[in-house]
Order: sequence, then C-alpha cells, then structure tokens
Amino acid sequence: MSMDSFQGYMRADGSVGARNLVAVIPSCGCSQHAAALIAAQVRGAALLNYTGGCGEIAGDMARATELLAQYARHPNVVGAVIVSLGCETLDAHRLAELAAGGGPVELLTIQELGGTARTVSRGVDLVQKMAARAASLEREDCPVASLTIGLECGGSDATSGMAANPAMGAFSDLMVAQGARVILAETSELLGAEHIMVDRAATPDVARALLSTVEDCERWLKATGEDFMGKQPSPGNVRGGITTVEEKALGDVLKGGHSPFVQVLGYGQRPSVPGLSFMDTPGNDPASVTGLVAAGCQIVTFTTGRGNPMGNAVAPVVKITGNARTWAHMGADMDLDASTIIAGSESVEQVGARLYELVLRVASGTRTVAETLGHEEFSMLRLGPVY
Amino acid sequence: MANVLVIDSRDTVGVALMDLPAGTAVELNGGRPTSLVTTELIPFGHKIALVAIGPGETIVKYGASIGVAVDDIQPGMSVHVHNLKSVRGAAR
Repeated sequence: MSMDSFQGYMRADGSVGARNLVAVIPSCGCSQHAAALIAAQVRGAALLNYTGGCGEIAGDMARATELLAQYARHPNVVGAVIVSLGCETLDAHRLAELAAGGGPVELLTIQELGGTARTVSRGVDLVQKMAARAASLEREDCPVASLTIGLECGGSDATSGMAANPAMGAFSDLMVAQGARVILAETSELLGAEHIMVDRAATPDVARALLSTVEDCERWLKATGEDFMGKQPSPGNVRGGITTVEEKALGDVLKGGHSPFVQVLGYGQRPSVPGLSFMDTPGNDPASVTGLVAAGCQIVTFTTGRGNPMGNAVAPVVKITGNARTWAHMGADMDLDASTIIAGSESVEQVGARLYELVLRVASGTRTVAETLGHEEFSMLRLGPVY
Repeated sequence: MANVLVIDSRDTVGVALMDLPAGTAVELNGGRPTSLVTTELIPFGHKIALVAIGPGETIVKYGASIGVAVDDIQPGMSVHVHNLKSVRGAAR
C-alpha cells in the first residue's frame, strides 16, 4: 500500500495544519461581543463563541480553560488573541499560559484597556499582524498519518445507516490504514450498539472503557427521570424512519468502519496513538464537534440524512448525505452525495474512496461549503448549572 | 428493481427504498423471492415487517435488536413508533 500525502502546513511542534487561522477567544460571556467585533474585521480570524466564564462549577471552569487553550494550540491555528473582561472567574492569565506553545498568544483586558472600542482597535491590529505573518507560510507534502479526523452524524434518517455512514466507515478504514487518527463520538447515540464496539476493542481495557462509558451515559440519563423516547432519536430522526435509539445506534456505529478501537477518550482529549478511537461526547452536534476539534481534529467528516448545515470555528466540516432528496433540495449545504449507494450506481467502497480523496483535497486547502457559507459553530459541553 | 432493502439476513424488518402504497408487491434486494405485499403505506426509509412478530418479541435490523414489538405485527405492515419500543434509555 502506498503512503499518501496532502499539502499541509508543518508546525514547529510537529503537528500539521490544514488552515491558518487566528483564534479570537473571549474568556467570558461579557467579553464575547468585543471578541466578535475583532474577529469580524479580519479575514482569517476565527471567533470561539464562548459565553461562560462566571457562575459555573469548578469542573466546567477547568474544562473551559483547558479546551479554549487546546483551540489556541490547534494545528489549524497560527496565533490567538484572548479577550478578557478583567473580573471573571475564569483565570485569563492561566488560559494565556496554557494557550502558549503553538503560535503567538496575546491577552487583552477590557477593564485595563478602557472599554470595548479600545480593546477592539488593539485586537484588530494584533489579529491582522498574526494573519499577515501566516500569509507567508507555504504548504508542503505531509503524510496522511499526520491527520486526526472526527466522525460525526446529525439530522440522521434511515438513509444514514444505509449509505452515508457505511461510506464514512470505508473512508475511516482507509484513513486508519494510512496511520491517521480517527475519532468516533456521540455516546448517547450508541446505546444498543456497544456490543459491536466491544467486539472490536483492541484490548480488554479498551473493551471495559467502552462499556463503562455507555453504561455511565445510560445510568445518568435514567437518573434524570427523562424518557429518552422523543429525544433520542430526535423528532426529525423519527420522521426519517428511525424508531428507537438502538436502531439509530446500529446505523451510527457503521461510521467507524471495521477497524479495531484502540483508545477511549474523554471530551476533548487528544488520542495518543494512531487508529480508531472513541470519544465520550453528547449527541448534541455542535457540542460533540467542538470536543472532537479540541482533540486536534484538523477536519471533521459529518453525515446527515435530513440535512444539517453545520461547520466549526477552526476545522473544516465535510458533509455527506445518502438521501437523494436532501442532495437535490439542500445540496448547497453538502459536500458529497452518497445516495448513489441506495440507487445502486456506486458501492460503499467507491463512495468511501471518493470521500477520502475529497478530505485530502480539503486538507490541502479546498474550502468546504460550510467554510464558504461562513459557519463558525463552537459550543462547549457543560455539565453543571450556571448560577 | 428492489423496492425494499434487507440489510442483514437475520433481519425481521426491511427498509422501503421508495414510498410504497398499500397493496404494493415487495421486491427484495438481491432478487430473493418473496410474496410479501404492503398492507399499508410504507414511506421511503420506513420499516416493513418481513415476518409475523408477536407482542414482546425482539425486532431485528442490522442483524441486531432495535427494540421489542408492543403489538401484533403482520407481514407487510409498517413497523415504527406505534408498534416498536426501545428497551434502552427509557425512564421506567
């Protein structure tokens, strides 16, 4: 087998970027507006739409600090400007320390600088300089093994399990064969398919971790007293022909192809070994994709049946549908048509190979439709109340 | 051309590949012989019972359980939220 390559940006820390973005990071909801104004004025700026920072439990605050820093150090990010109010609970100086190690990091504090306008003016200047420096960087031949790819689905219908998810599975196996890191996610959408994952666990420890992750999710759900029916699957999933969470799960798990599971990751945790990992994320798509990208995914692949337009602040999101009607009706939000599998004109493997080629083109600079449309979703998982 | 897809040979339900009005003769993928006829509308992507399924019996798709029947299901009937319930994640 040949080792394939793409055109990426080699970083000093050994990682490889698919984009050169400057992250603009509010450290609390009260500095979010200033950060948004800065990001809106510079092409190549990426706003992380964080609105916490105060009145959150310690665990959520620690997670936010770490996750925002991970975005600042993301392979697709060349520099970061942190925008702080000055009185928030989240420690913006600590965030700036953790964010260092990739490109340059600057911290602006609204209360010290004397208001929104001064902060925005200074921020635009800093982001512009970082973006200008990045413009001189050149792409080089990089091995596919340097990619980390997220596997996500949203707005699923019956075609997801018949076409788009199996095609993504074939794509995932091609990536794994090249030595890339691939991450399946969305724990609550795997209730009923865990036996398939456990059978493919690389070690007994991974099998135990997979089972306990799914069991913890189910126990937690039941403890809330909520009935899963009507939420998982969602009303749209049900209209699309999916009846139960088990049925959804058996279709979802196909996204992971046939590779063994080598690691179970916490939300936002970076895989330490190549191969297929599983990350414990919620079924809420923006929150799940935000966790996948925090783990270093340069690209997320996303299957949808009913049509989901989403993207991410720093990672291109490649969208695939197996529903011919969605491709015809909402194709402007889609990157790849997998409905040919249901029509019988292409095999699962053929569409998987097309997706593989498309992802390498996207990794080399081709824009996804979500990027063209300006999508910049960022939504962090929060476990505790906001008080 | 097939109008119902059976994903796994163990499955007790198939998936409609197009809207199938009541009285449609079913043609399975792979050309497997069947005398199955739809007894009601099965919309595109929705499930059709391939065999008789009694209340409490496991319903199989993808070769695995997708829940249990909560009603008598005859071959050719629609299988969805009205006669199939999850056994996972439901508050009890």
